[in-house]
Amino acid sequence: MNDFLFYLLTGLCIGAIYALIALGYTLVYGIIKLINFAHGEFYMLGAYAGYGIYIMLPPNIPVWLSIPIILITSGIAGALIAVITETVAYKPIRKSSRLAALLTAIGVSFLLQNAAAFINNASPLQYNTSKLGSIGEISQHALGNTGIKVIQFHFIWLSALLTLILWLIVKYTNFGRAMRAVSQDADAAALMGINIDSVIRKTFALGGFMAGVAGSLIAFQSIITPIMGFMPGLKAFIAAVIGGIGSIPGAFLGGFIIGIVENIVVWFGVPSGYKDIASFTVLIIALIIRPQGILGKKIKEKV
Amino acid sequence: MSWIELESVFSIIGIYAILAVSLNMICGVTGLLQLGHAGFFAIGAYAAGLVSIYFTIPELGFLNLFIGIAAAMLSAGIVALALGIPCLRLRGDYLAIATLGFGEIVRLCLVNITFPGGKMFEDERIGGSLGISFTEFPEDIWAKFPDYSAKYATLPVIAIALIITYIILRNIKMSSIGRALMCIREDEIAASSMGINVAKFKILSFVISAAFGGLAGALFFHNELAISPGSFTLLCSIEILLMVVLGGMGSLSGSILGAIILGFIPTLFSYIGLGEYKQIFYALMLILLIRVTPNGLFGMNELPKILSRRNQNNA
Repeated sequence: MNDFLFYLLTGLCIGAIYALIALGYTLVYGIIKLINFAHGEFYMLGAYAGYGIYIMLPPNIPVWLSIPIILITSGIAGALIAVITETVAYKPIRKSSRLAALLTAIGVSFLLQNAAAFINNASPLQYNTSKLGSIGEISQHALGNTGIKVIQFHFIWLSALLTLILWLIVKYTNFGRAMRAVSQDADAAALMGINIDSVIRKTFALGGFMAGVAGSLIAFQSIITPIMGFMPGLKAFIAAVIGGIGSIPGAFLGGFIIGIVENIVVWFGVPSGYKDIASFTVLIIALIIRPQGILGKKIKEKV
Repeated sequence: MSWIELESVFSIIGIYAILAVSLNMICGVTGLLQLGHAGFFAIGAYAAGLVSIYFTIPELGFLNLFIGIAAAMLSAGIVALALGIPCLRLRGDYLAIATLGFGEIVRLCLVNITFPGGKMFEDERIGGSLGISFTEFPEDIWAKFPDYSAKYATLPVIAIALIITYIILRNIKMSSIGRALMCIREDEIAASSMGINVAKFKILSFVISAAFGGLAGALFFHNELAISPGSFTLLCSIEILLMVVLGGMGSLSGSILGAIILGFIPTLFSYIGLGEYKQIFYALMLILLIRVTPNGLFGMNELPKILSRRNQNNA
């Protein structure tokens, strides 16, 4: 297997994770115009919750049952934390300035990070992959040793499936219609009898669910630490901006673009220490060329 | 707490006050959200550090500090110009994210780049994640290069630098440039229809703010004599912004007050033995502060005005 394919596949796998996190960013920004910096923390706490349920499961439980239980638990945990954060921290400052909201979000992010440091005294946790059966192993393919774990390939279709479900919810259900109405004009939506608070809460829950699932997915291939949410959170936000913030297919696309770009640059000979710089550079270039994002709509400014 | 400890706490507060005042120029006065001020701080610190390794002239003694400061302000200003021309077209949140990206790029570059050692460290490479440090080297290097390792930026020097920074930036704020900047903050379209060259003034304030951020970096290097990329994280940018918000967006004297208050809290926590909860309380305070005083302690006013208003109320 050649190097190019390896970096491309690694990029696709991690891109799927970024896409899942980016969905939450895009939903929340679309509806209350808030960059939810704490979103990476929902991802991190989701990973912890997944690990928590994993140690409580009986040891002889089959893999096809244990993994869905872990994923759903972490998704629900992410959703719960997102809803609590929204109610306690964001709701009271919804009417004040954008800066106040942004700083509150940063504060919540640091608060959750430091609170998580009390779990297991901030030392990293890791799944015992031997208990998870074949999915923790390196996948062998017709092309040879891929160097990629089996579970990582599952990221891609899981991410696509969740995005599709989310897109269908937003497009075809009454709740989705209410969500789009609130994001277009909150006051008008309220006059039409939409309960704005409930719509915003549910939006946070959806975003938190996606982030939680993403967190426990990534935990199958790497360690769980209190700061694991920070960088992926930033990169997923970049993904959401590049794809066009507020657009679900855009976030999905952006996630894969960021994942592939940051791995392909290594193949081009950039030292892997500079990997993280690649995504920030892409962000600045993308903002300059097309500030509204690939699939975003341009908003005209009126006097 | 000993005097030496207290002096180092005050020095750091002074440096952060310079950072907060300079950030206020772009965030408060011009109204552009900047989340990457630590990037300019880092550029200034590294510029001063490298200049002092390569070009220290022993005969000049204390004046070497000024060479470092000039290099720091110049390099931070040039980087700001290069970044500002494309990025300042962005608005609001997008500018915030682009500058956040810039700050992280600077930090990650510094983690990865190593510099040649100059005549002091000879064949050794310096920089990388360990940064530039004079304090970890054995006595004989110190003895050979006494002027390299002298701590030029003592507390009085920092205090004078802070006062000069405050006077310069306050005069800019009160001048016609400052009025143009505040006009841009209130309404860009109205400003441009009044004949203000919005792009030019935005870049001007960005460069001024970055240059004084660089000044703080130079002082930081000459105070600590050891810098590493770990000091210039996103958290650092946010701490500076928090000082600005606490003091009041647009109030330069408020930023100094904000820096003093927030600079003392970590020391206070370590002093009463709650050091490990420091971060949590910091985060909680950030959330509560914004809820309680969204406009900061001074609002948009400077100190003399606030004092005179109080006198009026008393009379």
